[in-house]
Amino acid sequence: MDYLKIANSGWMWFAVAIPMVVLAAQVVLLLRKSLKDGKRMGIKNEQIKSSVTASATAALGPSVSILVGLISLMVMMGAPIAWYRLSYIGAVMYEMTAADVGAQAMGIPFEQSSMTAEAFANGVWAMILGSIGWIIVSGLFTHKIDSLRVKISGGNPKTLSIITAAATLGVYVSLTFNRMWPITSTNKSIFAVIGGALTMFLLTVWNKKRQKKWVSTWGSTIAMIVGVAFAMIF
Amino acid sequence: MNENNASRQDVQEIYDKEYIPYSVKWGRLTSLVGVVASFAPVVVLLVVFKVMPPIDAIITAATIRISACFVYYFIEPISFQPVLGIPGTYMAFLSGNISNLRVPCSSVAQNAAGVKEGTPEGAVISTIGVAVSVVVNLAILTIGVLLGAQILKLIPQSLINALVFLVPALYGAMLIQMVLYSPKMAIVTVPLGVIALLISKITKIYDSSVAILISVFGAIILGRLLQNTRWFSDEEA
Repeated sequence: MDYLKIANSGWMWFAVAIPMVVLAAQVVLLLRKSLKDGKRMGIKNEQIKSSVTASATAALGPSVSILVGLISLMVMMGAPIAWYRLSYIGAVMYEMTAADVGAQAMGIPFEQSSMTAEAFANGVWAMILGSIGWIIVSGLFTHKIDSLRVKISGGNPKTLSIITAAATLGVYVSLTFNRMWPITSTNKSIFAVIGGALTMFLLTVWNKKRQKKWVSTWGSTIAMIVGVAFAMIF
Repeated sequence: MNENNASRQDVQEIYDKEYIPYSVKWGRLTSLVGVVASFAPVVVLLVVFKVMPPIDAIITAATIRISACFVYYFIEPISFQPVLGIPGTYMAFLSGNISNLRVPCSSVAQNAAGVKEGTPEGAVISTIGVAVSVVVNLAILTIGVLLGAQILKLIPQSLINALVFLVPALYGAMLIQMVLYSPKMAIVTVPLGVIALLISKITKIYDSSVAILISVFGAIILGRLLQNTRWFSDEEA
């Protein structure tokens, strides 16, 4: 039997629906609690609306990029597995490599013409076994990691706020400069970073006194678009 | 932020006594159930289609993957957790695409609502931001698989090329926003992060994800040390 018939079968859709239901349950449970307790903490509807709009627009572009990856994964591994892996635990680069390694371990080249059902299955095994480590670690230790940060702050909310700001800076410095390497004129990501940063800088400074709501909601989207324009122009 | 409904202590109380215990209980449970559920496709392959690769092939492939990813299992939750907050971390890791989608969406949401990372309100808004990104991502991918490979014809190649630059542009924007929030902290943490990354890139002693960990933990320690000095005036605290 052609492995793609199995890979695209109704049974596979059924199989991938099971973990997706678990993810949906988690999102519903945590989101409902956040909305409820957020209100009690004094978060206003306006703030929630503004964060939903901003996050939804920010998610659009990267999701279309992920979709492009999904199409290439779909050609090799069938629609259900591609859809499942890129909405659940996985990431584009990771999944392609895992599927490739799975086939190679069977001594089969990772090409549609030579793939067998077993090589396909081994790719799926490799995707799953390689990725559950993230969920086990985050599932078991997230609250411990958080209490470590609280411990370093000595339980002082002011210190906690400072070290969290420091940690956030640490995350973005590293993510940003990682994209700016290598420093060459052909690395267009550098211009994207500069365009995004410059736009956000101007908007934030301009808005400091004015406190316009559209800037907080749409600022990051505008910055992204200008950043992309910079990368395309320079 | 405006606190007409709740005092600072009330907020902390709701966070410590209700929000976090609930999130840890259900977040952890659903994540661990999610680990078991992720095996559903291979179970169906075995039971319905009687397809099972030889056990040594499974072990070979899994060993290659696990040894390649092992350090990231720890580095990524530790590095991204301060931004994501506790419930946001469970959700981001169960849904994947963390650094290119979940973390930026969490920050964007927190900025839009005007709340700070690491506060109770920050954790709530981060969770909302990550949840929205899960819905949007799932919607787009679902449209994608339904339309199949022909969707690539609908998206012009130039747009696909341009999309690559969205994430770096967003990183730059988020970085500058954080710098403007805490400029004094940035004076020490930005050079630290850049140096950690340059050492990784030039000497290749460690991977760039280790550089994130050094950058984050170094920043936390520097922040803690500087707090004992007079470096921070009240406006930043």
